[in-house]
Formats: sequence, C-alpha cells, structure tokens
Amino acid sequence: MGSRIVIKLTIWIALLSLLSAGISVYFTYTHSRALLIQSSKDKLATATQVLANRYSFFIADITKDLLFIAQLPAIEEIASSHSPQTDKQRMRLANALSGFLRSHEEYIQVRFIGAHNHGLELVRVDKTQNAVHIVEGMALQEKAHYSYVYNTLKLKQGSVFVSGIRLNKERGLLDGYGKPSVIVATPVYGTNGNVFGVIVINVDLEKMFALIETDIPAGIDVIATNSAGDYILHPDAEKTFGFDKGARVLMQNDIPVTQHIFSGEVSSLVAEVHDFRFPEKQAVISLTKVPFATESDEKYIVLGLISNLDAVLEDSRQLGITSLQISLAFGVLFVLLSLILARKITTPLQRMATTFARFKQGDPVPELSTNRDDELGLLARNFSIMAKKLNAQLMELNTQRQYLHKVAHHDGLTGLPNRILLEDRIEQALISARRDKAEIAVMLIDLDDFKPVNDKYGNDIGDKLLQECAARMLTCIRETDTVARYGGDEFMTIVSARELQLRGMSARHISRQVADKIRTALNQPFKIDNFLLNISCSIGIAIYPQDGDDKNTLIKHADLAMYYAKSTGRNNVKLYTDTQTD
Amino acid sequence: MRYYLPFLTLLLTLLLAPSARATQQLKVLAWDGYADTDLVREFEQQHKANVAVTYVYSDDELWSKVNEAKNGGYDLLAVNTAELQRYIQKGLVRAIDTQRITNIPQQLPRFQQRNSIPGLVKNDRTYAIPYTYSEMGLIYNRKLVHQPPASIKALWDPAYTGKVLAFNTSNHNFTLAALSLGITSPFHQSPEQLQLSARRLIELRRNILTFYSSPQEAVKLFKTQEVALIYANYGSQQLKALADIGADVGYVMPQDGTLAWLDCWAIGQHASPLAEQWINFMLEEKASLRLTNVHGLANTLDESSAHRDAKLIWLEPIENADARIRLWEQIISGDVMERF
Repeated sequence: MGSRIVIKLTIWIALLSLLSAGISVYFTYTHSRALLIQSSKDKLATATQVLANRYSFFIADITKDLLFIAQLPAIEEIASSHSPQTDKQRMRLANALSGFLRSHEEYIQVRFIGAHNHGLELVRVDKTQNAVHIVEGMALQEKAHYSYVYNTLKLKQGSVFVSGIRLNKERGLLDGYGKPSVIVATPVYGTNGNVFGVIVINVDLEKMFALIETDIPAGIDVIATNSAGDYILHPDAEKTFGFDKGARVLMQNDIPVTQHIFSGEVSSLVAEVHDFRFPEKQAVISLTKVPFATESDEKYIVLGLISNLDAVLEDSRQLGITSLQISLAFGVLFVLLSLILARKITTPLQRMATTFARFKQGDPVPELSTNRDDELGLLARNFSIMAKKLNAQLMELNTQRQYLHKVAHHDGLTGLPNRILLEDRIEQALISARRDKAEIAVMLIDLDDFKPVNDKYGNDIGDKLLQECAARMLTCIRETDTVARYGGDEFMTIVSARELQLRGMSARHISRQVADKIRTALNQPFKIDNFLLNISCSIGIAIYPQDGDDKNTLIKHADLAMYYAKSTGRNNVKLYTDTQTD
Repeated sequence: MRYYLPFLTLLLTLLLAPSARATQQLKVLAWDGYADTDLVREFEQQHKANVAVTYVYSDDELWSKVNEAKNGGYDLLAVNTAELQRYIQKGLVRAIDTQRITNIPQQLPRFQQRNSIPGLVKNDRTYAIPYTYSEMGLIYNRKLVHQPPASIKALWDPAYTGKVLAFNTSNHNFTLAALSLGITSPFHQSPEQLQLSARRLIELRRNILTFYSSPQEAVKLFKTQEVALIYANYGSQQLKALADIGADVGYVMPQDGTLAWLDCWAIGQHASPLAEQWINFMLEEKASLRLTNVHGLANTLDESSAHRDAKLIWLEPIENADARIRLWEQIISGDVMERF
C-alpha cells in the first residue's frame, strides 16, 4: 500500500521533471538555433558588405590606373601628332604599358584605341601566361562596334566607362579567350579638343575576385550576377554566363527570394535557402547591389556570399545535446529525490497505518509522532484524540453490555442467576458430565409457608426474606456450583462436585449432604426488620444420568421429588429415586 | 466464384475492349504556342486519341530528342525547312499522305505549291506541311529614315553609318551578305564566295553601331543610342517590343533579301495515319488563327497585307556552319579587311 504511493509519486514527479526538462531543452534549442542563425546572417551580411566595398575600391583603383595612363606623355604625343606615322611614340607607349601590365596580375590587356579608322587599335599589349606581348600590324583590330568604345568616346575627359561582365569573345586576344572579364575605359582628347581615342583595360575577373576574396573562409562561396540576374560567379561554373553560352541561368529562378533585389524593392538581402552546392543542406545567402558610380553597360552588379549552415546547425545541435544530457542527469536526480521525498512522506504514514492496525479496544493510545508540526503531525494528533474518545466510548459500552447481561441472566431481587442462566448452566454441566462420565445433581428447593409470610408481613418483608434465603443458600454450596432463583419461592441448585466424585463419593451422597446443609440453614430463624421469622423448605433432587439425561427430564424429576418431599410432611429432602422406591 | 466467372469475364471484356481498340497514342514534339492544351483536348475527343505534347526550346534540343526517342519515337514534330533536311537524310521522318489532309486546299497558294519551297519535297514525296513562319525584315526609325528602305543594302548605306543595329549571328549574316552581293545560292556558298561575304560583312561592321544579341538588348540600344535601322532577326515580335516603349518605327520586308523560317509538321517514321489527322486538325481555322491572334505568329491560311507582297526567302541548310562561325568570330572581333 505504502510502496504503491511511493511508486506513483515517484513516477509523477519524474514525469513532471522530465516534461519541464524537455520543454526547456526544446526552447533552448530553437532559441539558440535562431540566435546562431541570426548571428551567422549578420556576419555574412557584414562580410558581403566588405566584399562589395572591396569590389568598389578595386574598380576605383582601376579607374586611377586608367587616368594615370591617359596622362602619360606618350599618349599626348600620339594624340597631338600631325603625322599618321607615330610608330616611335606608339612603341614607347607600348613599352610603358607592358611594364604596367606586368605589375598588375589581374590586368590581361591594355589598349589605346583610336576614334578613327573604325576604332582601330593603336597600341595593344596582351598578357599571356608567362609574358607580356606587344601586338602590332595586321593583328590590331577595329573595335568601334564594341560598347566600351562607342560609349566611352562620348564621355568627357576624366570620366570612366565600365562594361558589363561577360565572357571575352574577342578573337585575337593572345590569352583569355572565353574567360570572364570586365573592361574599363576612359576617353583621350587631342589638343584640338576633339576626342582622339580611348584607353581600355581588360581585367581578368577570376584573378580580380581571387584578390577580392582573400580571407573568405572555406565553406563560403562568392556569387555574383549582372543586373538581369545572370550568374557571373557561381560555385558551379556551368551556371555562369548563360547569356554568352545560349541558355540563360538566372538567380531569381534558382532562388525566388532574390527577385526582390532585381525588382528594386531592396538593395540587399539575407535569406535562409537550400544550399544548392550540397542538396538537402541549409545555407544562408547574403546579397547586395553594387551600383556603378561611372557610366556602364549595367547600372549595378549583385554580389553575394553563400555560407553553409552546417557549422551553425552543428553548434546548435551540440547545444541541444548538451542541454538534453544535463536535463536527463537532472531528471535522474529528480527521480531519486522524488523517491526520497515519497519515502519521507509515506514512512510516517506507514508507521501510523501499522499502529492503527495493531490498535485494539482498551489499549492505551499508542505513541505517534504527534509533535510534528506538519499535516502528518495533525493527522497523528487527531488520531490520538479519536482513539481516546473511542476508548472511553467502548468502556461505557462494555459496562452497559455487562449490566444488560447481568440483568438478563440474574434475578433482580436476590442477585442469583435466573431461570434462563440456570438452564444454560445445566446444559453446560450436562455436556461436561457426558464427556467426563461424571454425575451431576439438580436440586429444587421450595420454601414452605412463604406465602403466609408475604401475606402477613407484606411483600417487602417477603422480598427481604427471599434475599436472606439466597444469601444462606450461597454459603451452603461450593463456588463451582450454582444456586439460582427458579420461581417465586423456588430455588434450584446444580451440584457437580467432580473432585469429590473422583474420590469415590457419589453425587447422590454429596447432593444429599448439600441439601441437608441448606435445609438446616434455612431452618434457622430469620431476623428481618425486628420480626423473627421461621420457615422451612422442601428439596427434591434428580441425578444425572440415572434420573434423566436431559435438562427438562432432570428438572421435571427434581420437581416430582420436591413435591414428594412436601407431601411427606415438608421440611424434608427427597431424591427422585425415593419417589420410585417408597 | 465459379458461378460469377463468366459474368466477370464479360464485364472485363466490355470495360477493356473499347479502350484497347480505340484509344490511340500520339506523341507530339512542338514549340510553345503550337499546340495549346484546349486544342489538344478537342483533337483527343474528336479522334478518341491520347496526345502527349513535349515542348522544345531549340533546334538542337529537337534533334537530340528525336534521335534519343524510344518506343517508336515521336509521331509528329514541328521543324523548320532548313532543319528538316537532316531528319529526312537520317530517315527519321516518313513521307506524308497529303490526300488524307483535306485542309491543304485552305492554305495560301504559296504554301500549297510545296515544290517551290526548298526542302519540303524530295523524290516527289512530301515530307512536311507548312504551319507557321516568321520573316526577318528591317525596322526603321521614322524620325531618321523617311523612305522605307526598299533593299537589304540599306544596312550598308553610309547615310546611316553608326546608326545601324545588326544581329550577332554567323549563318544568317553570311546569307544576307551574299544576297546583298547578288550571289545566287546564298545558302550554299563556295569558299571564295564566303570570303567575299566576309569582306562584305566587314563593310557592314564598319557601318553599324553594334551587333545585338537579344530583342531586349535592341530595345535598350534604341533607347540609349541614335538608331536608324535594325535588322529584325526576331521579326514582328521585335517590332512589337519597340512599339511598346513608344518608338516611332516602321517595318519593311525588302524584296531582295527577307529571310524567313518556315516551321512545318513532319511525321515520324513509325507514325500511324492519325498523324495526318493531327496536321489536318492544325490546318483548320481555329488552330491556325490561334497562332496569329494569341501567339503573334503568321499562319498559312491567310496573311497580312505586308506579307502578301513580300518575297520571302525560306531558310535552307547552309553549306558549312563551322566555316561561317570561324569567319564570323574574326569579323566580330574586329579583324581588318586585309586579313580576308
């Protein structure tokens, strides 16, 4: 019973503690995950901004280089020459540009293109893997139909044009055909104030981004698109420059959320997306528009970084596992604590229960931990009070029961057993006698001349006489024998006297002696309320087993013997056998 | 169970037999706009057939799909006359039973005279039925060009130097150059003729502003630069894009050099006569007018006044695509005339 409470209590407490632990783990996990992702987004957004700034600075640096070249004396000499034969000056410029090209890893070509002769290149220096080459003669090409020429020719001195980023499809380039490149150009004006040509620098986009991308950690990739969304840079090179390969691949189709950038709603965004580099993984993408400050084919490009969320998710997973472990440890601890707690509660209850079980009527109220000041103490105290009350009520009930028993089985006047009790005792005596093969005697004593006493002196005196008779008869019998009031002035005695019978005395003899003793005692005068009264008695005896073997026969035969004694002159003792023999 | 068996067999026979007998499959390979879903459903109902339409987006895709197809391949393909020739050579398409296509008399005379359209008929057998077409005319800026150009030579006109937009492509440009030089077989040029065309294209390059690559790019250039003439590689579609931005432009189809592609229905080698029914259905007014009214494509049943007088030069397979590409890359890169 007690252990069942322990189990229930333990289970409930354990469940509650596990539930609360689970909830806290869940919230810790989701919240920390969100925080980690947010922080990762913030970091990526910052990194993207840094990247964008570097890109802008890079373009600004190219611009400075261009403007520096535009002011080289050789340029001015060519532009202001009145003779078309400018071989010497062009060679000098080519040499200068060669040095310039060598010192800039990311430049693949520097040119001076004339405004006349359909944009014929005047000076052209190409870079190959190992060396810088000055391109001359028939290899020089007409470039007027390229946007970096016809657009730049319209610009003012000192202005710069930036081409769209595309694959370089200009045949004749010694190295770099089909490579992504961006072209930056500035116009050159002659002394007459007319535009003379353009200076053009061709930048290798891959090398440029290799320089911009330095210190970008592994797992983060750079993405770039033009203003239409065509990929320019992508971890999967197949996706880039679709517009130059015949099938456009747009970022807003791959990652729909990015359309907000191209629609102009936002200029930068950070979003959680599927990592297209590793299917089924999550990534954060951060994009920002990089507008061109100068004239250009396009108003802006979009630069961005994509970062795997693996590290972030691993962190939050680890955090989740740790908090789960802690919660489980606490859960176990809670189970143990709840076990102890349950024991602490149930032990006094169990002790009380045992005490209650042992408690019997009349026992002194058991000692309980009544000095506790908690609910258990209260329970114990109340139990003590209840036990005391119960005890007192039980005592009273017992007394009443004993009184009622006495009243039911005793004669109110003499205090002797009444007829009911007497008959019961005869039965008991008979049972014993049958078992022990012993004898018993049933003796009926009837007072002679009692009625005249009653009539003459009144009932009070009669009653007192009966009481005195009873008292005298009690002195004549053994404690083990019974005297009972059988009727108005009739008494009955049961005599078993087993120990005398064991010594060889017969019941007949013994009962005779007892009867004589009674008769003698009652023959003595009674002094009652200053009256001296003399009475006698007639006694009839029936012996078990010879005079009858059941109660009623014995009583009937004792009665017959008594009447025989009365009929033979009163104050006499007769055995039932006497009635047969006489 | 045994009691029900004859009944069940009967029921199954009744249920399965009609579908197995009547539902024919038709696999169609077409371009967007050629076979709208509601038309396909109508055809399916009329002929108790099941039609599966697969769309293609380039000539190369069409070629590889037909070559890689299994289980009898496609029953119908929409292919242009120039492309059609390699399908015929490889035996991927079969001759068409024109008697079964009762709507052919509804077509314009020029499309009924299949012998006059190069590539449709081989050994007196018809391999394709014209369905839709688009020409490459000239768009002119009414503010700068007061007379609609009568000749393709207008692209070379010094009056428009620096104000012409040509298209960045190798094959059509060489054909165009040959047309402007009066070469009689512009699709089949000898190496010497190609060399001549190349020099002609350098002259073109020197006269234009730039070569554009997409309709959007042409629109953008028209907005930002001074443009007088545009060679409309995308035809009337491109005219619409310019009109949408409010450009005051006109469109002409010069008599001496308006190239046009003609898309036809061709029938796969293993196709059933139902394929002819499909073509017949597509030549009904409902399907053909849908091309014009919804998709902006010309149909073969009736024509606009502009088309009526136009002499269209249907595209044919060219002699050597690689040679044209090689030369074209030199030209667009800016090689000087002396190199040709």
